[in-house]
Amino acid sequence: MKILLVCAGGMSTSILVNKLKKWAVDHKQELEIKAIGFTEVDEEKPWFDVVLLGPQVSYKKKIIEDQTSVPVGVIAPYDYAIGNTDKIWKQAEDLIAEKAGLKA
Amino acid sequence: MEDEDNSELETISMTIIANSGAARSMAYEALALAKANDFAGAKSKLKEADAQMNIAHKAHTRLLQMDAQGLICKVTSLSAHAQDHIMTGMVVLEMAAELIELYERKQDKPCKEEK
Repeated sequence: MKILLVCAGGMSTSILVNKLKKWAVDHKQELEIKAIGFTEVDEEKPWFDVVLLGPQVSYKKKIIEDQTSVPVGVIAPYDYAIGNTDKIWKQAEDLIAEKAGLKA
Repeated sequence: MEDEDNSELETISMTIIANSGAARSMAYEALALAKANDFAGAKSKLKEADAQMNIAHKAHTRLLQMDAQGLICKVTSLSAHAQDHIMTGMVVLEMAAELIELYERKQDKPCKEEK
């Protein structure tokens, strides 16, 4: 799975990047992941399957949806704070499946 | 021991960032609702924002208490970042409440250009 994580400056999402990378290794899943600030989204080439926003930038969801064709989701504050990787991984999978379902 | 301290500091910092950040997002949503003349919606969104900020505030208090007890050995850039988030978040919430009230008062008295 290829995930683009977006927050205000890319700092707090970097913490999540490490946790998700560890989760992927533990669960033998392929993962490409990068954390960036929301101002950099339109500079990013579309290499990712899904965009996940930190709760602190959820009000930017519409703007980011307009900049990309892949599904965009907001991580819940609790999951984000504790780094609930199980749930965040599932959320990303669900978003991709949902979008694929809509296309089919 | 030090590692444990750092991991608690990280969790508290992330709790502050996630919740004060979410509260700020909600405040912006409330402002958008007020702009569209949905004042009941705006105020209820602002209440949600307050509740969310409360979670961040409690974590922040815990952080200060830990520091006062000498439990925090170093300042991380993540904890400074958390302070950034809670400060701006609180200002945005207060200003949003003021602005929503202004939008509401202005409702019956449109500006000249809007007539």
